[in-house]
Amino acid sequence: MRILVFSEEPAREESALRAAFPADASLEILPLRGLKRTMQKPSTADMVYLNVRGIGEAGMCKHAPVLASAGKLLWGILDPEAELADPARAFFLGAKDYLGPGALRSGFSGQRLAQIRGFAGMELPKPPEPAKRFPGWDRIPEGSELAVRFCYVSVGDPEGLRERIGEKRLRKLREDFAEFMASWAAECGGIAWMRDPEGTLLLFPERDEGTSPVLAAFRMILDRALIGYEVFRLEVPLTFRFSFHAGKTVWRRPGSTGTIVSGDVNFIFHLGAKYCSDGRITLSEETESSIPAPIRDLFLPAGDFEGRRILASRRFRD
Amino acid sequence: MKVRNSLAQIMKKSLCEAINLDLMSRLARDIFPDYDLHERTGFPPTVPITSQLAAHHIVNDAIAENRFLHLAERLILLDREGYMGRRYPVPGLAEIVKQIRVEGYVWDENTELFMEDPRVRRTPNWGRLLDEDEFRFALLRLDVANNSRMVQTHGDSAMRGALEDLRQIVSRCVEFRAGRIWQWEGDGALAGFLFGSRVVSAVLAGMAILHELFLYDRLHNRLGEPLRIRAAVHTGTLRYYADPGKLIKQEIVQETEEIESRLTPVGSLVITPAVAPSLDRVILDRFHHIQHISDSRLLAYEVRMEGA
Repeated sequence: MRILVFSEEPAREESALRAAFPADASLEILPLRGLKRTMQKPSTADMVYLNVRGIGEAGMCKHAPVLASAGKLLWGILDPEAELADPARAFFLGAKDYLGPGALRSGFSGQRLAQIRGFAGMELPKPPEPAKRFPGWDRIPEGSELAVRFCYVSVGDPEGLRERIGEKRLRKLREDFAEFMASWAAECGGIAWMRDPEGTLLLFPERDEGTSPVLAAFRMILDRALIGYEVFRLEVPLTFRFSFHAGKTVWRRPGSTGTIVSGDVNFIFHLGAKYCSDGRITLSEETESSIPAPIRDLFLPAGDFEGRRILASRRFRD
Repeated sequence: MKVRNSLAQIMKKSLCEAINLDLMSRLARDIFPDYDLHERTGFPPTVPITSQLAAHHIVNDAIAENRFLHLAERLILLDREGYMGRRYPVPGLAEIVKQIRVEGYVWDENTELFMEDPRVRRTPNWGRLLDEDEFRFALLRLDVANNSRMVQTHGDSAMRGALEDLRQIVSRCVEFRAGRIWQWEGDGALAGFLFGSRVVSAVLAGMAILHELFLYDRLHNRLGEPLRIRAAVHTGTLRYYADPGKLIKQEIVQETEEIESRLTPVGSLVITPAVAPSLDRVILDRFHHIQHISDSRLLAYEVRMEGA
């Protein structure tokens, strides 16, 4: 949801307004002096508000015609200090919503936007088809084709680890790590599916079932020092590599995956083993939508790999 | 701690079978300074006291004065280490430890003390410290930076919500590592760590809080600006008091507060020179010298991203 607010003093309003709108809404608070210029271009905003704090009714009457003449634009009045003696005047001028102090305290929601659209006589947006809940890994028929998200995960800097802790302990660490990642995946609705000598391939349902695996991976990289020390009892630094890709595969239970032939499975193994680097989450373009909005800006384009656009998370400094 | 009659009886029997009257008196004086068996039993000094009677009084006094766990700890150490070069195996010790566990206490190998089982309950004194008990603690002190300005900007209600969120984060990170929050005063907290690797636990709790806040600011913070803290870990000897007012007057707490409020950069966890030697290199290497204070021996940690 994209919301524009035009205010006399945008900087002053910012924190209060951010608190009133959903955290995942894209909220832009712009200076009122730029209203005319902005409205000359077609707007993609779902809702535009004119903040009357400091300009009062006179200011509303002055600026409302600019909004009212902007085609099919949905706009309303924001009145955090209840400065308008007669809020109904806003509606006479063409506004489709009025957010006074009470409504701002309750917070703006997607439901309110739907009500505004209904009030404006616009066709109500079709409610999205309720996503089919994932039936659970046990209930998927063997041999059926399945759309999933793949995640290949491995410990970072294996050469450095081999030098510092030796081959035997590295092997044990990888075993413990695979076990840890299996329960980690289960907490996000996933399953540990295959292993190779370096890492583990996890599967997750197409859509998040509770915790987002990308967010959980991000948290693991943030907590890498604590996990290395407290969980794996390592006296040397530990980091991880995560790769995500979405695609299709034939479903076979873990342990019976020897005969699987799938381009997407090949791709995730290649992405994890050849392209991902220590302390990063690497994603193919197919999984871009799996990045939760609040951490989206921490992912940057990272070139192309085997014909797919890749994103990678920024690294934490050690 | 509630001591069942059966446990008291085993303890009395073990005492009698393991040690003589003289050693029993010494053991009692470890727990109660100036303990006098004759005075406690009412027998004149010329009348000999039997081991059974002595054990009966020592155990009953330990129960009455809430020092039963202290007595059990002394017996465990006696069994392990002996006394003056002689071994004193204590019969029935395994049963004593088992019954104490049933009451919700676990043995901590690092401190060689019983502490409450965190799965059963979590109290500020770990279910066992009494006023004036003196131990070496690790302290974690933290405070919200620019709290007054934030209250002015965002209002009481919004800040109250954010501070409640912070409180939950801190409780989770501290209690997960066997620490206890001793004081929440407005926007600041004081936590104590005694059991396990107390210094390491305090430092890891501080790091975990910074990590949680990094995510909180992105996922749940509705203030429109980051909730930033200053945190400091220090260690030293401290007397425990149930009254936080008495607790915080002690020098070591004052020093920790001073370091947190005056020398800690916003968004950082600072450790003192007393803390650093207890940390393994893999954790210590995450800390760096504070740049804006020349010749400071304080080390700081913060969450930093490349390209930020």
